[in-house]
Amino acid sequence: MSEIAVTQRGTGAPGDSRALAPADWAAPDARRRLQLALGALWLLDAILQYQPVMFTRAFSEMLAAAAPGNPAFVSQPVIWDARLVGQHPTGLNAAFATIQLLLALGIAWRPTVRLALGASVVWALSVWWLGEGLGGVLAGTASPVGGAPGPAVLYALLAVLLWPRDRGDATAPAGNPPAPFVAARAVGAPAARALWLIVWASLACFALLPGNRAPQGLHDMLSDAARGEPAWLASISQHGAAFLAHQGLAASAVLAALFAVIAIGVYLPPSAARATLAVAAVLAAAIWVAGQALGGILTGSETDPGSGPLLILLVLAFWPARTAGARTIPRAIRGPGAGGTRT
Amino acid sequence: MRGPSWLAGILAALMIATAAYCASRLVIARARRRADERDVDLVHTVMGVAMAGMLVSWLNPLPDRVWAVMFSAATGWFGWRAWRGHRARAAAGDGPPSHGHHVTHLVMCGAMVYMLLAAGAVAAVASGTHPGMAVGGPPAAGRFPLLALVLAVFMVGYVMWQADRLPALARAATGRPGASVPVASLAFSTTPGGGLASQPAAATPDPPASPDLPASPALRVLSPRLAACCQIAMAVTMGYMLILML
Repeated sequence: MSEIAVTQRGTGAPGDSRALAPADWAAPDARRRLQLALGALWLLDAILQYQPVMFTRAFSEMLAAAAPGNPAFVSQPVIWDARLVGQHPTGLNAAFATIQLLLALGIAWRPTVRLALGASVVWALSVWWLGEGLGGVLAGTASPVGGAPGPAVLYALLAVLLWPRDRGDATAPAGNPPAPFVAARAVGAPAARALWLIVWASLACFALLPGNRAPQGLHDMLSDAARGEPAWLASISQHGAAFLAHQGLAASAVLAALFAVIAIGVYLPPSAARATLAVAAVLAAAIWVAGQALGGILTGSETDPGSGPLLILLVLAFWPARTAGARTIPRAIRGPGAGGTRT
Repeated sequence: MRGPSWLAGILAALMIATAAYCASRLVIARARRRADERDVDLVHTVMGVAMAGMLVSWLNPLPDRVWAVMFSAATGWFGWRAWRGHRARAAAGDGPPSHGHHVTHLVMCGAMVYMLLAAGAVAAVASGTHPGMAVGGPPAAGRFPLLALVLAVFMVGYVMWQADRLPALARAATGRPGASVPVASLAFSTTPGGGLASQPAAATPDPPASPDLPASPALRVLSPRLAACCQIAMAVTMGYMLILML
């Protein structure tokens, strides 16, 4: 039997026996939109991974650069992985890029959203370990300005928080209060807030590492980010570097204080939480532009757009719902990745 | 530096297949006297051939300037249609959304113009040979890598938006001559080109057909879902080509 008509949102046309397209298809809600944004980042990663330079030994050298300073259980697998990629650059890079392409399309295609999100967690954690050396967290080189704790682990975190499940929905369908924010729907508000706290508190700690609080630490980082970038983008980083020259300690302290405030922001009342989340988004964007030069993707030699967009996505996942009322969608019209309360 | 030749070959073959598919849609729609949006299929046919030629130089039948003129005209055409649709929507108040998908075609045509002109700018600096996708060359004036990135991000977003709606798109078109879109499609009426149209084009709904009857191969060719898949392939390929312009 074939589908020979298109249905309206979630409902078949009255009396139309040909309306065989999924009757429970629903327009994307807030969580589904964030899932699509996550999928879009995976797709961008895939396309960046298909860049010509990634099929050369340069990609292997990029991977190997994550090893120094790490403990053996991190550095040795990273070196092994880099060597393997160096021996088979074309095949392995094509495989990596194709995996990310499939992850993106799997997230976009509703019937496979759970499978793709689950696979993306596994893949992202593998990349975090073997490709990013755990983001330098154990090497003492992690820097929030440089993208710590590593984009890959943020992909995994977002996949978990955006998992298409509504915690507790089945047990209290009638009086179930709506989730206070999107990320709470999958794991519950306490667990989601704890994860947020861990992420941003760790950024506060990283900001105070010796390498970051050195007088020229942040200055050097921004100067490095400017290399090879278009003039306008390099100019932003260079101005930032000039501003931070010899101010490493003070700037790191301010950054750490901001991250700490952001970390506890989700425990505050909604209006205060929104303010701290807005600060988080602005800070993530500023770091992404000035500190990471848009992840370096304009140089044509990066595999991802950096941590900025992921942190902003995380902010959106924790943005307090506008209404406290139980504005629910009937279960009958929920899609697999779009069910539950609109937030 | 260019992308791997095998990858360019695969994508070029995909684009030629897409162009052939869009051409077949044109033929079938004409044979069945369906009021399909032929401009969309026509532009996609031309775009598929042009993209294949940009990826693999020897497949390029026309000079880049000719392509650039053609896609400039197409950009103007879809810009006009989008503007007209916007005005129609404004006049209708809260009526059905209209012509939003033409913005997508507008951007895709604009991206083609950008790539053709930017590749030419790079070639003018690098050498006098045919540029193909002259990527990774010296940073040439007028290349505007940020624009390439913005367009690539648009393509990525479009792919996700379109793929999310695939389950709602029909696998085959309805068979009534003269019909343009299936019944019950005002909210997400699908255009023959695969976009999500919103005009109330199906003023005359198709007659009910038995769901047990399999759609004919011709109607399957006109399937909105298949058309959307082709658009996804085209947008992914275009995103890749734009990233190569960085």
